[in-house]
Amino acid sequence: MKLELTLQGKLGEFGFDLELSLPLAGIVGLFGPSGVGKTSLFRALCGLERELPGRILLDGEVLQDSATETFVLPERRRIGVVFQDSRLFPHLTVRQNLKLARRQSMNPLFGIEELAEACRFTELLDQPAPALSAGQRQRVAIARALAASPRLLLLDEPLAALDLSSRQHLMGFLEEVSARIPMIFISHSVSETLHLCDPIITMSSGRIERIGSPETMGQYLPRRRGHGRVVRYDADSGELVLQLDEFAPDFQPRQTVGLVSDPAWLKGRG
Amino acid sequence: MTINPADLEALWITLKLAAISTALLLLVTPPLAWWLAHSRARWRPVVEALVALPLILPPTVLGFYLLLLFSPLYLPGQWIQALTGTTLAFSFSGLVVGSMIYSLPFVVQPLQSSFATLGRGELEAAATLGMNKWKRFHYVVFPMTRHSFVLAGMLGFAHTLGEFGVVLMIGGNIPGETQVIAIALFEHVEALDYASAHLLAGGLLLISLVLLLFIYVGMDRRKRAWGYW
Repeated sequence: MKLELTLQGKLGEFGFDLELSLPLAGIVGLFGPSGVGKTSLFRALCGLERELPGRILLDGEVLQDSATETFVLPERRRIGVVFQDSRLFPHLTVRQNLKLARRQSMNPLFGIEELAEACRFTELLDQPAPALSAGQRQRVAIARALAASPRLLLLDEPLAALDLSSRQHLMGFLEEVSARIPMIFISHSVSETLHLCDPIITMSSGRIERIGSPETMGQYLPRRRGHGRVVRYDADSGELVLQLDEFAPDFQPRQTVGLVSDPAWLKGRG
Repeated sequence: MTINPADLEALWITLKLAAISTALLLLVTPPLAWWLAHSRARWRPVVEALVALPLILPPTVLGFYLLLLFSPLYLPGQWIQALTGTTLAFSFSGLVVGSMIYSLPFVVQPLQSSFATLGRGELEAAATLGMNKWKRFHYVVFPMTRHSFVLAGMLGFAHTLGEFGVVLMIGGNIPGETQVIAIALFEHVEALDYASAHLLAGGLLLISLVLLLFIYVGMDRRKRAWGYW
């Protein structure tokens, strides 16, 4: 599957100049600070944003072409989206949410129980959607998007509300599914992006900055946070020697750094 | 004390009129309410004002203009007559049309405010799952706003029950055809038959009160369950 797009124009005061042509296989990472247009790009891809002029082709099929006034409606694009805020249907149970999504597909790839098991919420299937926690809702939203069997899945920070153990499990599951359904993945987590995505695209203020493999892109991703193990500590002299992980920032002599002992965001990591 | 057959017939016509008008309004007005809730067109306030007009317009004014509109002396009435072979003035069908216009804001406004508060998020999610606009309405919009359909239906029904001015102007007072309960009540009072008048007035009072209680108890329950109406 190949994605080709050229989007140039303004959304409100924000200007876009996006040009992209890449084969879609596995998980493509989309990385960049907040407000650079990642979500707008997603919205244009799935057909929820009509105001951004340009041309989008997926597998040779024209989804949008402002020159010929072609615009394929979102329901006809078969591009699934997992939104940041999950957007489950509040009047339905978890099972009904999944059933409704599955019914939209001519050839469903997954069963409801299968998805519930893979995303670890079998016990929640008959719960009303509003009764779920943010993390549970996000897991159901991923399963619901897959239940509709899209040809491409866009994930907008899908793992942000999850605890570390669920996050690691779902990363494995998404990686496995991406062999059948290519995905584009937005995340603010450097480690998540580097582990899961290949290639990685970086964006800055409405433009594509770079595209490359995790090996080449690693150096361009901001490394603000890492973790390390204490190798040696002398309470009298205050000397501390740490073994840092691969994502830790580069330090300079005399630089001031903050330390958190056993931080919550590393809970569960061995 | 028993209700006489003519009054029973008036009660039946009133209930039939209210039921048919409300059902038709609930079928016809959702697209208008949706448009009013989401349109950014410059002339939206004009349409909104026209829809709300029956709220403040004296019913006799509305009835007077509708009577002229239905009259075979003018173009719209001539068209209707050419199309249906009959005139809408002084007929039950004419009463239905008049009642629909008279109760329009009572049905449109609850739907409009409910559609306006419905988040776009769920609808966008439904579209990306492959649901077209009819499916989105059927599976998402209607179930999420069904309380407002119930409210709109009850308000429209209750409002049509008490109709007097419009009915008198366009329907006349033909027993068994256009005589509704409010007009029968007026006739009893004019004839100083207070016993029959009490029976009809008390009946209308009771029906209206029960309907309103139903609406407010329902609203209260929803507020408790969802935190909002």
